[in-house]
Amino acid sequence: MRLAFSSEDEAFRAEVRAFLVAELPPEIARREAMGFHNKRATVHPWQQKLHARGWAAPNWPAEFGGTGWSSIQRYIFELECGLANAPEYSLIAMSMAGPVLCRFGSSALRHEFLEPMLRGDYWFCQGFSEPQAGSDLASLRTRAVRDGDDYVITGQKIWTTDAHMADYMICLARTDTEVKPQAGLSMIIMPMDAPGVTVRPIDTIDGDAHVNEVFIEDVRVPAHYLIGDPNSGWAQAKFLLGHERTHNAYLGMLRRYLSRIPQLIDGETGRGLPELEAKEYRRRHARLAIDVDALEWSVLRVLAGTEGPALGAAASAISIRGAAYLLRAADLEMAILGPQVVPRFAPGDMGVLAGGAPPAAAGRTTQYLYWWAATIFGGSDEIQRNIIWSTMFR
Amino acid sequence: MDFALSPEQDMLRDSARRYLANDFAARRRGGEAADGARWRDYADLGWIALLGPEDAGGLGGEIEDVLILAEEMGCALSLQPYVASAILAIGLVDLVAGGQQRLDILGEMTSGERRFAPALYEPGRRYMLAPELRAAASGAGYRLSGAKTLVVGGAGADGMLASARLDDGAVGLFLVPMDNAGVFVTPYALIDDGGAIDARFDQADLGPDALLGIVSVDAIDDVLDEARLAQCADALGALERAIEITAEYLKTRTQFGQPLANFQALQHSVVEMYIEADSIRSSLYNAIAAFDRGGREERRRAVSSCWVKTFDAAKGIAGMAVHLHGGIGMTTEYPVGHYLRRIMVSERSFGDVEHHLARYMDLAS
Repeated sequence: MRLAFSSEDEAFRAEVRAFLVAELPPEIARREAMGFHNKRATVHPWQQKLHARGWAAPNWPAEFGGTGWSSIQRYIFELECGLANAPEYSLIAMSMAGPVLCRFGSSALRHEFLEPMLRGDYWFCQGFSEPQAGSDLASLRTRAVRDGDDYVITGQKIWTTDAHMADYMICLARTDTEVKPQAGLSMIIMPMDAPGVTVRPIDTIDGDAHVNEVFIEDVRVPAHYLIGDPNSGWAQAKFLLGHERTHNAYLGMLRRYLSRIPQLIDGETGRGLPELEAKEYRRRHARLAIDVDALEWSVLRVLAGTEGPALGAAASAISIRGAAYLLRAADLEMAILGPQVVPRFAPGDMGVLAGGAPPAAAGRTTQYLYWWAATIFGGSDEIQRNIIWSTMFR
Repeated sequence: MDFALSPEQDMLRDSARRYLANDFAARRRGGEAADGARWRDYADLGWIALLGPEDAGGLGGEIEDVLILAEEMGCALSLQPYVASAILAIGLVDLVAGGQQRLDILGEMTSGERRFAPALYEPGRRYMLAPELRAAASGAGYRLSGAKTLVVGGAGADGMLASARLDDGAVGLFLVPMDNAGVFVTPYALIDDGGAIDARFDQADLGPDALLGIVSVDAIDDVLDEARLAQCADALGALERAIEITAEYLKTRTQFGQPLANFQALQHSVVEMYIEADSIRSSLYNAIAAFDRGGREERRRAVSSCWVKTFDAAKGIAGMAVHLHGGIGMTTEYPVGHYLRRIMVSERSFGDVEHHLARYMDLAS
C-alpha cells in the first residue's frame, strides 16, 4: 500500500498548473466560473492552446495524437483544469467519440476525423437517447439501412447535448431488426448538416440552451462512416460509457465550489447575513468538504485499478455521489446568497445585477437547476443502483 | 498510488479472520469478554506488539496493519479492548515513559503479561483531555484525588494509565494499580456488551515510580488519533459485515412467494448502505495518506474528517440493517443488532461527530 502521488505526478501537477496560469484566458475562466455553458466560439481558442501544447486529447492513445498519460495523470489534469475554471471542449468529441474511433475506427475514419478533432475544429454530439429509449437504451428505434454505398438513417434522438452546435453525431442506430435488441445496433457518424437532419432546441428549466431533439429523415451517410463491424454498436457504446468512469465524480467542479464558498460566506456576512446562519453554512461547507475528500479517494481507488470485480459498482457509486454533492454545493451557494439569487440572470450579466446582488449571484440558480440533470444523464441514479446491486449482491 | 495489501498484510487479515470467527458464538455462551486467555492469544499472534516500538519488543508495524486488524475485530464483534489497551495504551507509554521503565512496561504489555486501561476522560468533562484529577506531591510520591470515567477495558486490567494534573499545572501520566489503596472502582456493562469502569481516587497514595512522565495534552491527542482511526476501521468492518448479513438474509427470506431480494426498494436500500460504507473506506484511505505524509495539522484534520464521515453514516447503516431484517433483527440472539449497539459505543468513544466536526473546522480556518 502506498497512498501517495509519485514525485513525477507532483511534478506533472506543477507543470499543468503553470500552463493554466500562463495560458487560460481570464474571460473564458470567468464565464465558466459563473456556471453558464461555454459556447463553441469561446472554447475554440482554448482547445487550440491545448493542442499546441500536445494536451488536446488526454483520453486518447499517444499513437493517435493523445497524451499517453497514465490514468492518474489524466485525473490530475482534469482536476487542475476544473480548479482553474478551464472549460471543456466538446466532451463528447474528446472523451467519447474520439476514444471509440481510436479503438474501433478504420484507418480511413481515423485519418478523416482525429486530426480536426484535436485542433478543435469538429464538435460532436452523441445520439443515443430516444423518446422511447431512455434508461432502456437497447430499445431504441432509429434505423440505419444499407443502400449501395450509403446507409440511410431514419428516426429521432432526444436530449442530445450540443446538437445545435455540433458538426457530427455519433449515432447509435439499429442495423439488424431480426436479432435481440442489443445485438442489432451499430454506431455511425452522421454529419449534422446532411439533408434530412433537423435540430430543435429544448428549453430546459435552468434557462441555458444545451439539449435538443434531432429529427432524422432518410439521411444518407457514406457506408464507411459506420464504426467497426456492423451490429457491434452495443459493445462500442459500453466501451464509450465505461471510458470515463470517474468523470461523473465532478471533482474539479466540486473543488471549485469548495474553494469559493468560504469567501462567499465572508462577503455576505458584511451584507446582512447573520453570524448564526453563517456558522451553519460553514458547517455545511465543512461537511461537504469531508464528503468530497472521501469521493476523491474513491476516484483514486478506481484509477489505481485495484477494485477488481467491484469496479462497475464503484463507478456507479461515484456517479451517484458526484451528482448529489454538486446539488448540495449549488444549494449551499444559493442559501448563502439568500433572496439575491431569485432574479433570472443571463450569461452576459455582470457588473451591477438586479436587486443589488453581488456578481457571484449570477449563474447560481442556473447551475443548481442543471445539476438535477446530473442525477439523470449517463444512467440515472436508479440505474446506477441497479448496477451496484447486480455487481455486488446478486 | 497503490491500494493493494502486501502478502504479509493479506496473511494478517486471513489469520485474524480465522481466529476471530468464533467470537460472537463465544460471547453468546458468556465466555468471551471475561476471558483473559484471549488477550494472551492476541499477544501470541503478535497483534498487541504490532504498533509497539521495535526497541521494546514491538514490531514497529504501520498504521495500515492495525487498521486491518481493527476491521476484522469490528466484523467479528470482538469485545477485547484492543483499541484502548493495545493501540492507545502502548502509544501512551511509548510517548511518556522513559529509560528502563519504558522498556519494562512495554515489554510486559506486548507480551500480553499485563494489560493496562487508559483513563483519560472525567465525569462532566465530555471529551476534554486536560485532566482535573489532582496529583499532589506527597512525601516522595503523589496523592491522587478526583475521578475518571468510561475507562474501557478497566475490568480485569492490571492497572490504569491515568492523566492527572500536578502541583505546577503540568499533566502527568500515572500507572495506577487497580487495587491501589484509595482507588474505588465501579465496573459496568456498556450497550455493546463490552465493559468499562468508573474510578474514584480518594487520597490514593502512589510511589514516585507511578508517574511515567510529563506529557502535553496535544501529544495525548496525537496518540489518540491512531486509536481514533482504528475505531473508524473497526466500525467499517462492522458495517460491511452488517451489510453482507443483510443482503444474504434478503436472498433467503421469502415473502409474497418470492425472496425479499427481488424487491427493488429493498435492493436500493442495501445499495445506499453499501455506498455510504464504501465512502467510509475512502475516507480512511484519505487519513492513512495524511499519516504517511506526517504533518500534524493535516493528520488531525484527516482523522476528524474520517470520524465525521464514519459516524455520520454508521448508525443509519447499522440501523437499516436491523430494519431490513424485520423482527428477527431486533433480537439479541441474531448478530445484526449487535452491530448497531457496537456503533453506538464507538461513535462516542474518542470524541463524537460534533466534537470532530468542530476540530476539523478549527484546523481548516
